[in-house]
Amino acid sequence: MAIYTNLYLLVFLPVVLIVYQLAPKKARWGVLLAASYALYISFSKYLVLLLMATSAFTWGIGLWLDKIGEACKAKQAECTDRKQKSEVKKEFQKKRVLALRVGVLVLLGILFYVNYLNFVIDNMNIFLGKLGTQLPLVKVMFPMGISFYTLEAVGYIADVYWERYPAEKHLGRLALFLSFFPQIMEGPIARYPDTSEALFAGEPLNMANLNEGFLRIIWGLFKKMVVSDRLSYLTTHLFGNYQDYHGSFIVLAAIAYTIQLYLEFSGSIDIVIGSGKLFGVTLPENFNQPFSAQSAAEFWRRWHMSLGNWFKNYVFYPITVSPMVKNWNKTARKKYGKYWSMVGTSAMALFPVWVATGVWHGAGWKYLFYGMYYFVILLFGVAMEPIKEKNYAKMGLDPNARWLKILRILKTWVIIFTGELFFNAVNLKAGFHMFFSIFGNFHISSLWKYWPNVITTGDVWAICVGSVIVWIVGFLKEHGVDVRGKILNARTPYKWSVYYLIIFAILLFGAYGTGYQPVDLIYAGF
Amino acid sequence: MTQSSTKSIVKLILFGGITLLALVIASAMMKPTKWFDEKLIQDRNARTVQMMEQPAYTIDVFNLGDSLSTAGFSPMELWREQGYTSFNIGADGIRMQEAYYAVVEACEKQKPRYLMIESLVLFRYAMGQDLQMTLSQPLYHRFAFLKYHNIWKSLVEEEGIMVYHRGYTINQNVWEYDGEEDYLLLDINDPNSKLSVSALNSMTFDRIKRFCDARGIEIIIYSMPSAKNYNQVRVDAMASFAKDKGVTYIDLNEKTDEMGLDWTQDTNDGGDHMNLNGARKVVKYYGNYFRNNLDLTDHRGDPAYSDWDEELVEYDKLVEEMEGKSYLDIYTEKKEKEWDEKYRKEDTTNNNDVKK
Repeated sequence: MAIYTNLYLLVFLPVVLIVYQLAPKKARWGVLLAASYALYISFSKYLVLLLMATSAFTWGIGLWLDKIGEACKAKQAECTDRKQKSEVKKEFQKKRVLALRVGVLVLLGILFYVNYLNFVIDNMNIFLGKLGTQLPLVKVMFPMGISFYTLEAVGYIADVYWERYPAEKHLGRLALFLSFFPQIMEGPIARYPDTSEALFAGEPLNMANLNEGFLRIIWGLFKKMVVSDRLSYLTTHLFGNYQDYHGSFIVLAAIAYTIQLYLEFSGSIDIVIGSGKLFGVTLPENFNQPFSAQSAAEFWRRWHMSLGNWFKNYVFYPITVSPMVKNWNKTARKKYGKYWSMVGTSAMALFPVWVATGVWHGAGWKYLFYGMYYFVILLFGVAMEPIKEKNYAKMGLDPNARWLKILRILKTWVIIFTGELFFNAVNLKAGFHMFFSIFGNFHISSLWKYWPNVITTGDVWAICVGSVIVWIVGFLKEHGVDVRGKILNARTPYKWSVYYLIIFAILLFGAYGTGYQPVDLIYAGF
Repeated sequence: MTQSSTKSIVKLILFGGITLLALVIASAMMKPTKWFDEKLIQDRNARTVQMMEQPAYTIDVFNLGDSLSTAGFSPMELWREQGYTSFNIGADGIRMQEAYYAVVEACEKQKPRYLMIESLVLFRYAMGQDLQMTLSQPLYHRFAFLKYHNIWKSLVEEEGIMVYHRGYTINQNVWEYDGEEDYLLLDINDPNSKLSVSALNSMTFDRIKRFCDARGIEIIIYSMPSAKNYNQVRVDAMASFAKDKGVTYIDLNEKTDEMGLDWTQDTNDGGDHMNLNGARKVVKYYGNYFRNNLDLTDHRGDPAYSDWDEELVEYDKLVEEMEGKSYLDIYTEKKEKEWDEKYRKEDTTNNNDVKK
């Protein structure tokens, strides 16, 4: 039961809302947890046990860390001098590190087994085949949302280890945080303090939240059903038959897929955040007008923000402050100077982040390449930054000039479209084939001469008009006009008029109906 | 209950009520054939809209099922063979929930003598999709605005690609089946269907049967020849199901020799669906069966049915034109011709400009 289906929107969600409201305040978290597991079972059946086991394991590791911390404090209290206290701390620190390692390794181990083991076996078999032997592939069932809830669980354990907040004593509370039904499929990846309070508070439903949640949900449906789902027919065809196309069609495929992915992912996140809001739970935002970014680095601060924040908090920063990087920084500064020390430090911290970002999306060389693509671009950006500033000054250019901003945005678009071309290609080889075929036989006129008959003129109209509407709303937000806020603060007749306009636009122009194959959420497969 | 929560509930009910009212009004206004050129309406809507346009009480047989049924049964061929009127009311990938409403809607202006149900629809099963269908089909049936929502595309499209002849689209592609000769002994592994009839499908079948019984329509279940979709387990399961429900069952997979079916010539996709050759043989078999076993009238020569003769001429013309081609080929050829003419014209104009 995906979050965009009528079963979810017209039956599941209203029933959970009613039961939640009727339940006593203290039991409401239980209603949310039961609903979350019920939804999970509808996708992954008995694999809900793995989710439950992950919750219990994460909870146990948190308590273990807490217990070690308390024992350490108790023993320190018995100490008479600072040296003794420090030695006690060191002794207990080893235990804390052990608990952290056990927690992280087990959680990532399960993720590795489910997502990557067969990929590794496949690649090993290429070499083993030459020796006349093969490793058998492992039969694995994919538990829905494992990439999302595993990162949340690892983040929780790391935060408890760093004593950012105490471990959760209540198993149900942590289980609800990891399984909350709107976000289990596609995120956003939350940190424990972001949502746990509101999830457990059991506040009654109120009109302000219902309005905000409802508007967010229908806006998300508009993005997905009017634009993204229609585009998917075109992109599936072009990427699936890439050998038949070149030049302008490949460019079209890259642009169309990027728009499809953005509107689908941001649309479903709107539905997720809207669903959470109905219950008074504010989930973290995942997008902030990514196509207004003036650089690849800024793009990633605006795109899939919860994943970016996770890698920043749990990979980038810990590596940056690790003894190895600190030592390098110190040595390199003396040997090669400030500039190269900075470039080297960035490379050392960015490399694992982008390997992880790439493979997080899936087991495949194209995903690894996707990660490395951004690693190279971002590192190049870091290396060029001082040179760029000098050049601006030398040429007397204002870096904030409007035309320069537009140029930078266009350059970023080219980077994004190219990245998504490889991301969605059948495989890495196909990605390169598509990329190089752009430069051969490029004729814009081919687009209308050989337009594939997979989407009709009507679809193209819906896609263009829908995209323009979404772009206008994003453009206004980027320039400080909060359209959503204005609608929510408007008087009821105006507010409802907008609701009806969106609802009937979806009902009339949305891709749905009998015989229509619903388009699965792209990120739900990661 | 506080005053503010009462106010909130009233607001919610009012909002829902207005939405419902707007849907009712929009659905009442949705008259596809009045607003749009029938030829522009495509896919599922095309069959429903054409069905609605048939003169009242003129169809003898409804043929219901998924693409196996629509590809393997040509009503125009049955008209040519026996003079019986029939209509394909099924659709690609149809499920029982949709099939029920297809029968209900088709019976608004018709009272056929027989309803033929191709059995694969009864084997289709996917819990999630079936639940979605159970919820959405009554909504599509009640609200024409939802059912025909895509029809606005007809306003911006130049023309339809497919041409429907009483629910049948011509396919002359030949792609032989080169698998096991006795395919009924093979296993079938299809995640979207079962080897037996699910409880939900059985319930929906009962619903269709009750509806038909009340109108004096006799149901006949049949299995279209299909090397990809039938085996002995399915055939036996369907025979037993039909016996339980008290309806006639005809399995054409066991009659392929009698029908003279040639798997190298009569299938369009390697043994899955029939092509026009196959459909002609299926219809020939049924024509004889209907004549010998059922009580139907030959309408040929009846002026009230002259539109069937007119359509048969158009149908035959298209069959000839489409020899070895698909609708898409014809559409693409037409588009390329238009393109060439347009740009040749522009080139000539440009050349003239240069000369000037």
